[in-house]
Amino acid sequence: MSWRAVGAICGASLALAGSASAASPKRELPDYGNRGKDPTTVGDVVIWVPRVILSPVYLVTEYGIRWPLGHLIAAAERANVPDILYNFFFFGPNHSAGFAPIGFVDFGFRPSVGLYAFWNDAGFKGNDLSFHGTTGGSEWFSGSLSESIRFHEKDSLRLTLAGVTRPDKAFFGVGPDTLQSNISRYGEKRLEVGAVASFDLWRASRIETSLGVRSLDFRPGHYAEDPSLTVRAAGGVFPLPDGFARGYTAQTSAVRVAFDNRLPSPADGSGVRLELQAEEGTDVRRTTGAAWLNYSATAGAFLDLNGRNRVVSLSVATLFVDSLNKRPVPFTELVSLGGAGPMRGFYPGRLRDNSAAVVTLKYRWPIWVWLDGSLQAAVGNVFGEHLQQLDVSRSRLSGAIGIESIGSRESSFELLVGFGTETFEHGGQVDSARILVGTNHGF
Amino acid sequence: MAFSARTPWQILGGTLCLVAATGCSSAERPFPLRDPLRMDTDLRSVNVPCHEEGTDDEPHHVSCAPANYVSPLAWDGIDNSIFRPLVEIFAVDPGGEAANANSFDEVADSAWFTNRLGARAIDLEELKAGACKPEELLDGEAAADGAWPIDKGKINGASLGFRVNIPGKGKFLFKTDPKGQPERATAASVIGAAAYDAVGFFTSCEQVVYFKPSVLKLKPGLRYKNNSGIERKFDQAALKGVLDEATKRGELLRMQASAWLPGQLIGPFRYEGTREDDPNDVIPHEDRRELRGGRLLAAWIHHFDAREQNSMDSWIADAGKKGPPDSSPGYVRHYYLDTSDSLGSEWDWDGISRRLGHSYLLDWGDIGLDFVTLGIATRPWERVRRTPGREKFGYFESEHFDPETWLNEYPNPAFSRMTERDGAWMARILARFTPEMVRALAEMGRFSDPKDTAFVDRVLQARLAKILARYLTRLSPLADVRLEQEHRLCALDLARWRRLEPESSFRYSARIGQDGLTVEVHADGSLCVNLPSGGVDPRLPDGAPGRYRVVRIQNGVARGPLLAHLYDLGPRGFRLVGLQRPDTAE
Repeated sequence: MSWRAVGAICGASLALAGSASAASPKRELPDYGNRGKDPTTVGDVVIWVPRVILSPVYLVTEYGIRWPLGHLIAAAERANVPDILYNFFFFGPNHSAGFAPIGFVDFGFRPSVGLYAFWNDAGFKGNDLSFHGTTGGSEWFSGSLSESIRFHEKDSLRLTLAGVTRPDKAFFGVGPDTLQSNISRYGEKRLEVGAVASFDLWRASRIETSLGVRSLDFRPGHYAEDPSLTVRAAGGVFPLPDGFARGYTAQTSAVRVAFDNRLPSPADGSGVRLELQAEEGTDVRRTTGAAWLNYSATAGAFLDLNGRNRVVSLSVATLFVDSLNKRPVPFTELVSLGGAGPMRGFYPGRLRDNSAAVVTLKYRWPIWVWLDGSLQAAVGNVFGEHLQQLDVSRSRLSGAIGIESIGSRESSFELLVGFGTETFEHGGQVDSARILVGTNHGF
Repeated sequence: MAFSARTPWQILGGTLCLVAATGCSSAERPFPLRDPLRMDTDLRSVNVPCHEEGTDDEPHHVSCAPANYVSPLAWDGIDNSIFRPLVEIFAVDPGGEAANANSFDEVADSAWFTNRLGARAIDLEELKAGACKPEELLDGEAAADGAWPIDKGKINGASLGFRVNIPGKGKFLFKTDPKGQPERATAASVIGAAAYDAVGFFTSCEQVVYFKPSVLKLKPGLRYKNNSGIERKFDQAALKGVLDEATKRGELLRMQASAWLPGQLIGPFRYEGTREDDPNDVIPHEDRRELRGGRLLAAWIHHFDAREQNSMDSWIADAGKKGPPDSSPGYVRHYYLDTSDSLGSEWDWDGISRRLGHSYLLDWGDIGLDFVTLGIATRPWERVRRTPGREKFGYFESEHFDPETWLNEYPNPAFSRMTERDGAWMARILARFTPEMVRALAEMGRFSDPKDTAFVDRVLQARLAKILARYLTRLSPLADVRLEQEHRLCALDLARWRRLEPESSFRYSARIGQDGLTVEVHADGSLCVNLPSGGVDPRLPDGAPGRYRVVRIQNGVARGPLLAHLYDLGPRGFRLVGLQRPDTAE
C-alpha cells in the first residue's frame, strides 16, 4: 500500500458516500493470483520510513501544488482558455503579430520585467516590427522599437529607436587595475536612433553598415548599499569619468565586416571567423565635444569535435578607441569588457579603458533541442592607448558556464554563472561572481 | 531519461526486494487447486447514478452513464513532464509488479483486453480485418455518387478531415495525411489499429480508403471550429481545402476512415489512478499489466503519441440500441485510439523529430546529463538518419532502436512502471507475429509504392526482432504451457521458435523437486516433459500440500527458469495451477 492507495480508498469512500442509492458499489478486487493478498514483507515496512520522512513534502507537492494546479489548468482548458490566451498573445493574419512577457535577472543589478511584441510582415511582406518595453521599478524604464525590412533573401535594413533610463549602472574606474570593491553606481538616460543595413555574404559571412545618433546623460545612481559614482569620486577612489558631468550626443557611423566560413547548424560547426569593426563618433551636443574612433578585430577558429556541434573555439580580440580631436572620449564610449561582451564573468562595464586584448577559449555543446551549454574561459584586460603596458601579468581571468537558447538574439534565453579575477600580478584571486537568468534585449 | 524509464524509487524498490528476499519472491507460497482467472469481473454490468449532463441539443439531459471526461491536453503534458514525476519521488512509490496478472502470469479477458494472439492462432484474414466488422468495410471506388453524406467538419488537430454518416455502415471520421509525409499517417492508423487489435486491445475500425470525390455529399449548414477555436462554415470551399490536402492516386483521393466507436463515449481513460464513477474500475491504471506492457507494442510501431488523449472509454449500456446509450446498467469498455503518429511521424522541428523514441520532449534527465557531461557522449538521436528514398517515414528505423530505452513523447504513468515481467508478457504476445503477419500489416498501409511496403515490413521485422531478443532472453520464454495426456507437461519455447539464438544454444533441463526429468525437444520449438506419477498418498485431499509439485524447466538461453506449479492427482493425472518466471535460476 502506498500514499496513492490510501488516497484512492478515501476517494472511493467519499464517492460512494455521495452517490445515489442506485449506484453499484465498487466491485471487489478479484484474487488474480489465486493466492490471496501478498504477505507483508520487510521491504513493505521499511519503505514507510522514507515515506513518513518525506510526507510533508509529498503532501505539499501533491495537494498544495499539483492537485489545485491540475484542476485550475484543466478547468482553464475546458473553458478554452489556452485558445483564448493564444489568440490574445498572438493575433493577426496567420498569427503574425503577438506579444509575450519577458524578464531578466543579472544579480548585482535590478531585475527587470517587460513585454516583447512583434508584428511580422506588417503592412507588406518582409517588414517586421518589434517592440521591447521593460521596467526595473522606479527610475528604471527601457523601450525600443525596431523595424526590419528584408529586401532580398536575408539582406535587411533595420531602423531602431530606443531609450532607457536606469539608476543602477556600475562603474569601477578606468584602467586595468580597477577593483570590484570600488563598485559605484550611476544613473544613465540614453536615447538613440539608428539604421543598420545588413548583407549576407558567403556562408556566415556578413557585412553591416550603420548610422545613428545617441544621446546620453548621467546622474548619481544607487543600488543596494553601493555608493554612487559621485560619492566614490569625491572620496578619491577614482576621478569623475570623462563625459559624466555633462553627457553627450554622439553622431555615429559604423561598419562591421565578418568573414565566416561556417555553415548554419546542424552542419559541422568547424571553421574560422575574422571580424573587423569600426565606429566613428562625434559629440555634436557642443562645439568642443569629443570625436573618437572605436575599432576592433577578432579572429576565431572553431573546431567541431565530432561533427555534431560540440564546438571548441579559440578567439583573439583586440579593441581600441582613439580620440580624433585630442579631447577625452566619454567613459561610456571607452572599450569595455564584461557583461554581454568579451570576459562574460565580469559585470557589465566592469573594465574600461582605451584598448583591450582578450583571448577566449569557449566550448559550446547541445543539451536540448533549443538549448546549448556553454563553458568559456578568457584571459585579458583593458589597457591604455593602443595596448600600452600590455603584459600577461596584468591580465585577468574570466570564467563562465551556462545555458543559452539557440536562435534569435532578439528574444534569447540565458542562464549563466561566471566569475572574474584580479590581475595576475595582484594574485589573480576571484573578486567577482556573476549570475544571470532570463530573456534580455539591448542595454 | 533515456537510459532507463525507471524512477529512482523503482530502483530502490528493486534493491529492497533483494535485501528483503522474504518479500518480493513468493515462490514458497503454493498456488491453490484452482483454475486461473481467465475472465475478469469488470465486464459485468453495473449501475451508475443518474445525473444531469447537458448537451448542445438538450441542456438538461440526464445521463445514467459515467460522466464525460474532458482530457486536458496541456495539463496532461505538463503534469507528466514535471509534476507527477516530482511527486512520485516524494511519494516513495517504487511500483512493483502489476496488480492484475493471474496465476498463469497472464491477464484475464476484461473491459481492457481480450486475449487473442497470445491465446490462439490468428490467420491473415482476421489480422487484416482488425476491429472492422464486414459491414463496416468501405469501397470508395465502387460507391455511388453522393453515397457518403458529410455531416460534420473537422479542420483542427494535426490532420484535416470530416465525418461521413453512411446509411447501413455507420459514422466514420475521414482524415488526410499531414503535409510532407504522404500516405504515412493513414497507413499508420490502419497498421497500428490492426496490431493493437491482434494483441488484444479494443480499437476502432480503421481503413485506408481510396474514393472518387463525387461520392461525397455535403450536408448544408455545417460549421466547424479551427485550431484557434474560431467557428466557421464547413462549406464547399472548406471541403475543397480538405480534399486538396489529401494524397491522390489518379483521380482517387486517399484518406483514413475511422469508424465511430459503439456505445456512449465518455472521454479518454487515464494512465494513472481509477475512474471514480466507474464501479468496475478498481485497479490503478498504472498497475494494469496490459497498459504497462503496451509500452513495448508502442515501441514496436513507434507510437510515441501513446497518451491519454489517444484513448477512449465507452459506456456499453445493456439496453444496446433499444434504449438510450447512456442508460444504466452497463459497463465501461476501454479503447486505444489513433496510432496515426506511428511509423515515423515528424514534428515541425527536426531536433524534436529525431529525439522521439529516444528522449522525452522535455527530458530533465537527458538535459542534465548532457550539461554535466559537456555533451561528450554522442546521443542516439544525433546518429539517426532518414532512409534515402523513404523520407516520408522520418526517423522510423531499426538500427538505433532500443526497446529497453524507448520512450514516448512524455512520461506515461503505466509505461514508466513496466517491469521485466510486464515486458516479457507483451513480448510473448508479440512473438506470435510471424514474418507473414508483419508483411500483411505492412500491406495494410496500401502504399502506392511497393518499396514503401517493403520498407515498413523490413523495419517492423527488425524492431520486433530486437524486442524479442531483449525480452525473451531474461525471463523464461516458454509459453503455451499445458498438460497433455494428464502426465505430460508441454510448452512452446518462443525464443527457439523465433530463432533468437542458434539452435545449439538451447540446452534444456528440467527437474521436479530434486529429480531430473527428460526433456523432449521438438523441431517446431515445442518441448515436453513426462511427469512421474505415483508416490502420493491417495487418501490425501486433492488440494493437500502433499500433492503439490513444482517443475522447473530451463532452456539454456534465458537467465530464469519456468516454474510450473501442479497438483499430482494420482491416476487422474496432474493439474496445472500456476506459472512463474523468476528472473534468476535460484
